Amino acid sequence: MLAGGLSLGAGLAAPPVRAEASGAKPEILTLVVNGDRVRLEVDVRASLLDTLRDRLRLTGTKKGCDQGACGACTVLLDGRRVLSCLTLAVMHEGSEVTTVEGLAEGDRLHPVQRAFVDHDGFQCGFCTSGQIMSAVGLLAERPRVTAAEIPELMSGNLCRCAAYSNIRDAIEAAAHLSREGE
Amino acid sequence: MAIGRPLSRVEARDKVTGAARYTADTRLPGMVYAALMSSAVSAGRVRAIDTARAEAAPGVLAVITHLNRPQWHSTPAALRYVETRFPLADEHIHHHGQYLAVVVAGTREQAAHAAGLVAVDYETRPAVPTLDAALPDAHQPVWRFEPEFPTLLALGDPEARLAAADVRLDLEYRTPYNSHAPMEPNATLAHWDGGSLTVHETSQQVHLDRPVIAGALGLPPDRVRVVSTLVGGAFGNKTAVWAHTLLAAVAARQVGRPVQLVVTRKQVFTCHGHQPPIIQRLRVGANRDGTLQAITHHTVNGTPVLFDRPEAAISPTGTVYALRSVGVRVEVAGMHMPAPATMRTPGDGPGMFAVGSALDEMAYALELDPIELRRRNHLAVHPLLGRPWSGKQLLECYDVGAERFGWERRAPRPRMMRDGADWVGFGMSSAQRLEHHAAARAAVEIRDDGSAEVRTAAPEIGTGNLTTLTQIAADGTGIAPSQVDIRSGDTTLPESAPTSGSRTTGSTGTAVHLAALRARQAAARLAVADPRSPLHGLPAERVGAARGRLYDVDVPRRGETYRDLLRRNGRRSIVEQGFHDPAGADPRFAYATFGAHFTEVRIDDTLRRVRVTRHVGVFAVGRVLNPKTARNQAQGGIIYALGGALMEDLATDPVTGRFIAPALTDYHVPVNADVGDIDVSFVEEPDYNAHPLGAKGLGEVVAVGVHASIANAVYHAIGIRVRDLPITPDKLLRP
Amino acid sequence: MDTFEYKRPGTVREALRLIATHPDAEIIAGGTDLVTLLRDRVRTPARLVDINGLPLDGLRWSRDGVRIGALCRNAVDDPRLAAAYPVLVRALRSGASPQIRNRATFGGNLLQGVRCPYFRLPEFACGRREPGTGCAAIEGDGRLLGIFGTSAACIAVHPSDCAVALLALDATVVVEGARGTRRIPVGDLHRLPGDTPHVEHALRDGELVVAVEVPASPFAARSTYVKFRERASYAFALASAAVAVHSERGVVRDARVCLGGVAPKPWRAHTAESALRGRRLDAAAIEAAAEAATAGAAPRPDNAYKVELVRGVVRRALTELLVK
Ligand SMILES: Cc1cc2nc3c(=O)[nH]c(=O)nc-3n(C[C@H](O)[C@H](O)[C@H](O)COP(=O)(O)OP(=O)(O)OC[C@H]3O[C@@H](n4cnc5c(N)ncnc54)[C@H](O)[C@@H]3O)c2cc1C
Ligand code: SF4
Ligand code: FES
Ligand code: FES
Repeated sequence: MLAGGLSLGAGLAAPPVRAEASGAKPEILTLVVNGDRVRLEVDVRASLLDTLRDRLRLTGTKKGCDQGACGACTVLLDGRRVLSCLTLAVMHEGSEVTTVEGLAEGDRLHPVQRAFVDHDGFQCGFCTSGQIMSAVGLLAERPRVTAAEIPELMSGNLCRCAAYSNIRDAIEAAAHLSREGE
Repeated sequence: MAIGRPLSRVEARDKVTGAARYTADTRLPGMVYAALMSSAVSAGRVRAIDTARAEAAPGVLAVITHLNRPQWHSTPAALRYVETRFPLADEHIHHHGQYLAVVVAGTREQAAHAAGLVAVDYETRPAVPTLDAALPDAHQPVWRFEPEFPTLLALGDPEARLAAADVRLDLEYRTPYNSHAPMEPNATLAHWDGGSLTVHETSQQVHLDRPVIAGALGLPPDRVRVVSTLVGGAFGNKTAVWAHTLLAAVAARQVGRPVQLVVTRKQVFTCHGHQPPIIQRLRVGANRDGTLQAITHHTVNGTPVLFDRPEAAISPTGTVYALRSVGVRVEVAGMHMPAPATMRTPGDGPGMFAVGSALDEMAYALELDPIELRRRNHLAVHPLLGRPWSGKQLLECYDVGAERFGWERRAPRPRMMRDGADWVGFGMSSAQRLEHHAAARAAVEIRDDGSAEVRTAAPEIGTGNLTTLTQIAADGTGIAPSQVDIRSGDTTLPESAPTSGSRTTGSTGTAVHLAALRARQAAARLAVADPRSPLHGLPAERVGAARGRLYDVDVPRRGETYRDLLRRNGRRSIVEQGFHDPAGADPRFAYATFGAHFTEVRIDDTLRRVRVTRHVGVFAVGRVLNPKTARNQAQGGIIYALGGALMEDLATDPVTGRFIAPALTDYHVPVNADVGDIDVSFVEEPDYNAHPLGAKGLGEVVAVGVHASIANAVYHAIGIRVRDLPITPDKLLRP
Repeated sequence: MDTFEYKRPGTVREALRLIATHPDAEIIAGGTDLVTLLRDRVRTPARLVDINGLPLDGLRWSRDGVRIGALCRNAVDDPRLAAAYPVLVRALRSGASPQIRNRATFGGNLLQGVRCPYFRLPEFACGRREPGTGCAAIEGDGRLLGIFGTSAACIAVHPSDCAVALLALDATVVVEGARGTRRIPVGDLHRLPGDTPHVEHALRDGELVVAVEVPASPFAARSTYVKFRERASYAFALASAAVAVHSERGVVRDARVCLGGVAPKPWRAHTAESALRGRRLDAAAIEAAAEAATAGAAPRPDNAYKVELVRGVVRRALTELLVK
């Protein structure tokens, strides 16, 4: 829980940034990350991705390229899937960010997470956070997505281990589940 | 039995919740960040390097260049370092992207910014930019260390045999620079504690890294700990100590704080390995009856100007099909390129592209079905060793694959199958990968709560070894896999085989198997000697184990749990070691894994991009330990090779030789929508001659032969034979 | 990345002032292109003006067509837009990835930097990036580069899919500056390189794209976009075609044939359009148009295949219209 609005979950206090050393005037930023409100000073150059990873210690979101070309850094920004490496943290005052750490409810995995486990939707796991966040974003965009549409709509997420077939199966199963849940 | 069951990965939950911790996710108190500055020229010299602006930049703690670097110890040769020169050795530049400075700063942004402020005055020399330009330099390689394969060989009289053959083909195949492109960039977190160094590293082989790092820094190996638990994909580019690791270590020592260094994607493409361009000339002779008579295989691959590094593309040539005579010649040619690194299916990937394509060309020349040609030249015996292959179910792979694929629908000639605007083509190839071994150790501990723990250093790179090793230990001890923990990826653990070359299952798996058996036997001995045990007095061999319980195999009701046994005896645990001796396989046989690939491609007549709509792969890899992870890995291997066949090309500037596509935007690997229906199956027959578990390597054979299978299907579809990969649209648009 | 001053204006006027008062100011919208350009030091602004706080999003429909705000995202999912301008929606869907389209804006998409590999790698000479430094691509690898409208100074292609569709729809870019509002036809927005490749577009210093206006035209409904790339998705076009045809009583009155991935700007193939005019849209007319679309192509040996590709995408796109 929040301690004075400054910490993010257990043990996730944002470390102070050495403002005097950063070279640029740091900006004060408020974000709502996985439901918790955090306030922190950020270097204007810091990407949303680096801010999540370095400052908020949410390292589930991965950096595969820092070029917008792999999808490993996918998070939900105000409910929509985006690449967190292609946007600066400072641009998102007041925004809500959901990362892979924010999906499960306690011990209960999100249906997409469960489907990835059941269908072995990964190998090394490095792309997995991005795949899962992208899939969650996709199901929000299109709850009735068909099996035939999934490959194209998941093509913004590379998997070099190429667990693609299983990723599709997992998303299809999760789509079923969440539709049944309606 | 846990082995053979489709268990979910033991680390699955961590991987889907973001809890899985990779090297760059690891943080230490006081950690600071390093960034590397790379050379903008391909060849030449640093005339002057100005670090003043970088040093003055906000947050900067250190800037290290060749002028102020600490002393390296030992030599690259003594340590088998990946290059013949340590990083920042001197002012000379031998390849583009060569690291010229490392900058340490308080934040990631500051370090990256300051690295850009290092100003270099270059003296530029002309570079040898391409393999074609390097060809005049082609020469027999001088091996840096012991030779790994013959580079000049003539068995029988290939020239005479070729001259006498009914049909002769003389073909040139080319493969470009390919990148491993794992999703996880190489990274290091270096941390000193007094005179001891801990390195968290993206590594497939912690124990092999340790002496290199220790040697270069002048430390005894036991002062260096290398940790690499989870690796975000590797495919070979994490089988070497690269410059960034040594530089992070010296930077951390200099600033007195833990230093994290994550290389950029551009740097991954440049300075962390690749498969160099290769030109292969194959001459094949066959008689009208379909018997191959002779093959000669001459390869030239690009190598860095400073040292020779031959590629083993000739690897399949002499051992895959029956031949009266074989000639091989391997050459290298110096280019201003960064150091290559072994890449998934080293040698066999490009080699089988050539051999599998040439066989197809021969099949057309002889008007034979490509499978039939392969059957007529099937080999039951390793031709060079003269020993029978163990577990070679290749003929069954052909049968099963042809059946699952529907090969009988194949038209005999190219350009005969059409579906609307699409040309349709069928292609196939066989697959073979020699089975590799390495020494491996593991420990298995049975604990007094009835659980067990496996300890072996093998990092998990995505192949599923945490899971399969858990299954092996579960069956060896008779403890449910859910009760078995595994610790891995750390030099403080017993030394495993490196997680590369498909060695984990055979070598490390055997070590775990032996350790588990020994732990169980030790427990059994304890029980039979214990008057309070229901098993007291039985011969130890009569004690079985299942579900955490030791029992009398003749009277299964008679027995007790590990927990009861250990607690009663006041033992916290029983720990035993297992050792896999690489010389352990039955020497009467030769070992490899085998398979057959079948591909359907579709090519729109107007917009000629190759789509692999169906692929069938059938593999003989001995026993399959976990069908779920095995199937996934096989599909992944096929798609990995599909990328190489259809799109991957680390393009270079023809003038400077610099990579112009060091980005995942430009270096295309397959995306989800590129992947059609991939059907994987196994002809499963345990190969107990190879290993006591009967399982062999899987991760590579699944990718061998795919390039040829696709290229053959392309030819079958539209009658264009592409011999230079990748098969991009421009090569199919010849009217 | 060099550091900069970050500003987030709330009104267009304030934004214009912030741009005008700083010589090194740069606008950031979705950031999907600019952030990588900053990271690679292709651009080094001293002030970054974040326009996401401006009221420039959304679609406004009128009898004359639709006005698309500069901040409207490329993921725009509007059934009316899809029905009225199929070519536009298909072009948008073919671009980048869903994640990128959720951020990328119309304004940013039109003004994104070229994807010439040499432009993106500061270790190479590039006159588009740094005026007067020459062009490494000319002697280099030109497989992905242009066959139309190039010059001895630059052979890059414009990467936008959306711009090609907008060109086929006769769209206009609405810009605002200190001196008021201007309307620039999409076809005039990007400049051919000539000997000044660094002058990339027709915006004057301090101007801001505020909207794109797409007229209600007789072409729009019968239009489509075909994009050809090296892999199935998530790749820039090797060549693409946006086509639109207006027929009356079975005869083509007018047509638009526009090409992407082959020229420094979205390329209008006038000859192909003429080849269609006054004819029935049938296989022969399509063949004639496909051939005519290559008129004026000046390929190099390494990108000559693009000539055949142009025929292919035009043929395929027009053929799709046959069944419409
Ligand atoms: C991996 C990858 C693949 C891609 N694939 C494709 C593709 O297939 N097809 C395609 O079309 N695009 C593709 N793109 C490009 C993408 O569409 C663009 O990055 C995006 O459209 C840019 O929009 P933005 O709002 O993010 O622009 P920004 O990055 O914010 O800005 C881009 C430029 O436009 C200027 N600018 C932005 N808005 C305005 C304005 N209102 N007025 C004046 N100047 C302005 C900025 O100053 C900057 O110079 C791809 C990008 C990536 C990273
Ligand atoms: S083609 Fe244009 S963008 Fe590319 S290097 Fe030359 S000047 Fe620069
Ligand atoms: S890290 Fe953001 S797309 Fe690769
Ligand atoms: S699981 Fe390794 S990259 Fe996808």
